[in-house]
Amino acid sequence: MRYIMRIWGTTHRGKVSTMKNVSLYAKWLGLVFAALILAACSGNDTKEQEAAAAAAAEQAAQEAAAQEAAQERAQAEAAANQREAEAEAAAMGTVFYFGFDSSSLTDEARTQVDAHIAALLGNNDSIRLEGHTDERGTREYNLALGERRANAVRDYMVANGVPSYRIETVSYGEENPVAYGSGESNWQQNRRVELK
Amino acid sequence: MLMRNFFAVLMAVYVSCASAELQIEINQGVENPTPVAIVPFAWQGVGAAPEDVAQIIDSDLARSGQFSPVSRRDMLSFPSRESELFFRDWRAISAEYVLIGRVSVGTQARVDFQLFDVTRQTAVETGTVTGPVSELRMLAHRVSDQVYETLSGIPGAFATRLLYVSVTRNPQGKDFYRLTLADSDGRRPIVLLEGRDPILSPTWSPDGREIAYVSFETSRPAIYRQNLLTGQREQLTNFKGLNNSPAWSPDGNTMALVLSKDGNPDIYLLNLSSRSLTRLTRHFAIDTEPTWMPDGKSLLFTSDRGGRPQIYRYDLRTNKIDRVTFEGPYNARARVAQDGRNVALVHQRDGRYHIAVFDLVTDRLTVLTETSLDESPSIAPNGSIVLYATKRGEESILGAVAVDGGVRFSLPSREGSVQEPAWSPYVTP
Amino acid sequence: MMGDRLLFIGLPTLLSLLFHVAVVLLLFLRWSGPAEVVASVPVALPIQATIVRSQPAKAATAPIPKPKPKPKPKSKPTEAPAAKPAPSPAKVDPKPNPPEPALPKEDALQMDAQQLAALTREELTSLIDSEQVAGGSVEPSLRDVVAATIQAAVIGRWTRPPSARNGMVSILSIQLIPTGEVVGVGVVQSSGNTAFDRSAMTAVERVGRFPEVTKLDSRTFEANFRRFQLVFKPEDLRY
Repeated sequence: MRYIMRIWGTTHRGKVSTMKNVSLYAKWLGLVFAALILAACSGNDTKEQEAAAAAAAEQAAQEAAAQEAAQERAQAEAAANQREAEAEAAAMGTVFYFGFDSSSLTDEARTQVDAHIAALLGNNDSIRLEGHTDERGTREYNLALGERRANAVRDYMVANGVPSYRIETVSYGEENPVAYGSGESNWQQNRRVELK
Repeated sequence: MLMRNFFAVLMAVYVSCASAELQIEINQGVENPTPVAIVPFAWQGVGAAPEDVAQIIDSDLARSGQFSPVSRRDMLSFPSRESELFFRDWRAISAEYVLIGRVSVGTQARVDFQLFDVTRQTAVETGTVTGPVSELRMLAHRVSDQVYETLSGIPGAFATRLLYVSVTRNPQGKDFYRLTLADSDGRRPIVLLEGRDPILSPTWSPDGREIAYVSFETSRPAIYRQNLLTGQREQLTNFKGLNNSPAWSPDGNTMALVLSKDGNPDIYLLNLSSRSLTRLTRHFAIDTEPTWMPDGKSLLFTSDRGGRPQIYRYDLRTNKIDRVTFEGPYNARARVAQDGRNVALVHQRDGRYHIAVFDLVTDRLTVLTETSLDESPSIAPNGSIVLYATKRGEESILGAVAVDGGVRFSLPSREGSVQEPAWSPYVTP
Repeated sequence: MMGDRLLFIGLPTLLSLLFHVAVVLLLFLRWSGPAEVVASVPVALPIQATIVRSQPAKAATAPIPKPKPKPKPKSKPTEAPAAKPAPSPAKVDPKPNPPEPALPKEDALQMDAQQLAALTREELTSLIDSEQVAGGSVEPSLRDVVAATIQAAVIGRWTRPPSARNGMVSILSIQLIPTGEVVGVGVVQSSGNTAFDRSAMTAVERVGRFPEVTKLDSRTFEANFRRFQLVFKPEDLRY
């Protein structure tokens, strides 16, 4: 039940209330069962037994309710955390920049990727990493360099728990630049890996 | 008897002494182009001539850098036959050679031409070229090839074609790519493939009938082969990772290419009939940009196994690899001339990327260009000119420079950027 | 009979023999070798056109022109140096102590082939015009300067075709008339490359006329420049 509920919660991210309805339903179901049990046993017992049974049923119901509530809170929290992680990742941006002729992650890039890793660990998304270079140098060598950059990001993600089957890497080399001019201000915008 | 012999000897000495001549040695020269007059060819048909054949020849010879064509405005007469030619008219305007001719069209097009030496007042060459009317431009280029070869000693490369990628920028979305085929002077462009996915590394088969290239149309790089006559296409590779840098072997049976499916970019050979794949390099570095030596017995390629990209050679007989370039921090994208001696490549110096020529015999590297973002050199089939891509402002244009650094010109495109040129081989018709 | 034979055959024979020996000796004394290469250009030097001028102070010192070896690094050693310095120091002595510093060119005439080769045609022409050389009194001789001028003129008009290679040799025979005009050009030895031979002939035709030879006395002209050879042998090509 719990598993199913969670799945529902994941796929219908906007409809967390569905979970609330389900647990409320369970709560009421619990109560009804408790009441039925009570009713089934009440005919033979004394008033005291009835009271005790009622109290016990009430307590059980209360516990169940509390458990449900706790579970619901935890799930809500997890969902909220995941949303937060994804929002943070989005805020970090989906473009990671690199130094000239380098394919190692800068500290800033690492922070960005960390946020995405956190988000990815909480969902089942597949991503595509597209590596790029600036225009300097030969086109085919740059295609290999772009792949190196995309692979660097992929390897870091895999090392931190993201399964590799969910990551696709492609290089465009110096194709599809963001900035068309020359000079460092343009080149640095093109030395990047894009997460899609 | 003895006396007579003695006299004979003395006489011989006398005479030979008397005829000894002063010799002056000339061991330097200059690079002045030869002035040549290309007279508008007579059109022997109705209406207007379909092409200005003389103008095509004029542009070809000017582009070679060896000749400076005389302007039509300066011409005193317009002969089209030897009987109409008066050498004084051409001496007067300092032309050293005159080319005259006639164009006629029947079931075929026919161009008759004659080349004259103005100073010696003799005919140097007489010829005729014939072909389909639709190929009149190519016929003119063939006349250029003949004239060029007669006067320079090496075959011309004007009746050839160029393959290149034309890109229209779209800052808001994806750039638009067109794989284009044109004549060697950039005219008559035909689009072979177009789309929003990048097209790279166009290359020719040795017989000039097929091409290969890399296309991202499957959203990943893959190598395609295309027949120019039938238009038929075939996807040759579909491996994970990189599939790029196709290079046809001189015998046409094997395609060298780059794959990164085994972890990092390496050179592989694909047998085009059996489709078997052979791995050549096994190194964690980037090995890319393979190109064949004209004898087909070894390949040059780019590798950064030494830290930064340099040219290496793979000998197919011994399977040994050795380094070729040692000068400068970056040498890549080698292309070998038909003489097997001159190698055009991209060479970095002081942070700038130039086209340079490396002589495999003397190990000497000569920088040919002064622009700073040059790439993709391609050598003409007569080994004389290197075509390459360079940046002008925000667009890419094609430049050309003589292998001996003598002449430079550029071929700007009317629309967008032009990159990745590939000069065709000589096509046997 | 014997006497007659001796008289009518022996005597003329002997006289003829003596005459021929004398002529031969004269020729050997005057003549500088079968293939004299004049003023060959050193390889790979950009032409720096400066006339060497030494300080006027030098003029006061030893006036003797050092007998330099005849300036051709590649040619065979000839006998001209033996012949020339003999007359020249005698004539040079009085001159290089000039009261007037207005003729610094005197000292400039201590030039070898390399310095000659470095001059432009204009500078060579003005050198010819300067009295020192025209007087035939100092080294280099007027003939050498004229030869260097011809060399510079042809070099300036020689465009090599793309098929030219270092080591190709084309020898042309040139015929001039005393006005300097070229009246005959022929290929004596082909390089094997038609375009290369043609480019050599074109270079000479482009020059057309060598006015410098008009400065020569007729004997020097006839001996050296009526008919001479140009050896086209490039060394400055890439390979």
